[in-house]
Amino acid sequence: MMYRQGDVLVELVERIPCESIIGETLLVRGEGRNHGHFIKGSDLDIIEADENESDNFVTHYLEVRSEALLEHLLIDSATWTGEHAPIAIPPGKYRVIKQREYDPYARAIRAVRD
Amino acid sequence: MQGQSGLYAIKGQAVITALTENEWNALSKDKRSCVEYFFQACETDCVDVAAALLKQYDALSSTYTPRILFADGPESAKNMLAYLFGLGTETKNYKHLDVPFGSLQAARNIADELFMCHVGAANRQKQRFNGSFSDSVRVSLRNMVLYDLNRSISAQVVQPMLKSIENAQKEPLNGFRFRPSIYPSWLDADWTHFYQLCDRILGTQISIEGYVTDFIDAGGFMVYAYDLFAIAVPRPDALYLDDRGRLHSEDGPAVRWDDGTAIYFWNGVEIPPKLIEHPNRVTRDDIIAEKNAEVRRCYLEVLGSEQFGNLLGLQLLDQSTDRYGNDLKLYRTAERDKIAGDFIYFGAVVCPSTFRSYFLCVPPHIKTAREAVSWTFGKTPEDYKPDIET
Repeated sequence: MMYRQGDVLVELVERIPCESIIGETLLVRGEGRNHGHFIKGSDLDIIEADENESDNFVTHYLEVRSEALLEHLLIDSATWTGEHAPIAIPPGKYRVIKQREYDPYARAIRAVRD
Repeated sequence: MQGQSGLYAIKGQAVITALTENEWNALSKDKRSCVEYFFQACETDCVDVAAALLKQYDALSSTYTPRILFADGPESAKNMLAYLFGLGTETKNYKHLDVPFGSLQAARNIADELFMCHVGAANRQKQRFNGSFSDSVRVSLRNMVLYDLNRSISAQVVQPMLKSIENAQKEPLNGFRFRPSIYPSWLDADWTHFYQLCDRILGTQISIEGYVTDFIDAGGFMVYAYDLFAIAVPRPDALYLDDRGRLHSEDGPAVRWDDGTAIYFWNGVEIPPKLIEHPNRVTRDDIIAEKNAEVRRCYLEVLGSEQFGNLLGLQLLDQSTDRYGNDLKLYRTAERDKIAGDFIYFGAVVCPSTFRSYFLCVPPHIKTAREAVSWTFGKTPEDYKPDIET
């Protein structure tokens, strides 16, 4: 399964290679703007991706045990931005990937500025 | 900025004209109050307070007579200098300036004289720096930022100023040499705070030139020091950084002074003001004329791929549709980008939520529109099949 919400892709994986569980539900923050992609649920682990995964723009892994919700919210009020409808994420193990873009001058790849 | 500079030039002249020969001779001997005034001058309204300070500062007992002028920022310092050197619209002959100057020793002497008077104030300020180790680290980090800033000021404000003065004076006038020593300045904060740190932690007791630190800690940013006067510039009124501590502002100058001096940065790269203030007025020629790859990358980031690509002119290479029937397109610039050394490629996709089309830059090896959109998530067209998109 694969879910895309704006510049974030959440895809099903067989195993989670990282262990660092965090409490922060904000997965990806909009660059310099008051919005972000949040994961909310009653029974899930949010695992921060290891540093070596940053080259692949993997930001987190998710261990979802009961259905969770991927939401695009205003950070200060925790209300829906009006863009990118919420997506229900069924139980499973997932990888979160941030969209990327090519920099022709540095000949490098960088995260998209949303 | 020009208009604002003009205003502050007038403000600067008000200070300068307060320094007639008679007034200078009639100055009070109350040096103690100078301490307070200098401190306030660095912290609040430099010009007004400095005018009061100058009426009270008696330096006639020394071998030379420094005159301390306070600018609101680098731009008004430039205007003060231009005015003093007769480059302004109202040329006046200031006899007391008609002497040779410009040596480093003279600069040091005058800076010494200048800052001897505010040691008390500086000590109060320095308490902030004498605290914890983390404070010292913070100071070091700040100095790294300010090193970049000073380099920009030198390139943008100081060097053009010196050039304009030199151009206007093909031959030395009455022995004048129009080269100020810009010392001390924030640049010196690097080494003074490093030695302070060594002293505090290791007890090295290295002797450093205290007035330099005093100046910096009291809020000074830079000094244009001459034999008979010095122009002090306070630290910026606003300074914005990104989350990595680089100078950065998306909606205005990253560094500005009240005199209108404004310098624009994007993630630590100095950029033309127009790119932030009037991005819609950026032209193809602006982009082509920019030879610095870092700055051109900033054009791409600030304008966004779509405006950037449209300005450069685009050719459609491939077209397809996604599962919802929305267009996917692959474009390439009409001409090779000389700085990038290749054509620049863009994938154009439609947001399934807002139905707005947006452009993302993709590498030159991309051949199809489907490949372009899947590459942006690190996937191949075969792998990239979202079940739900919003």
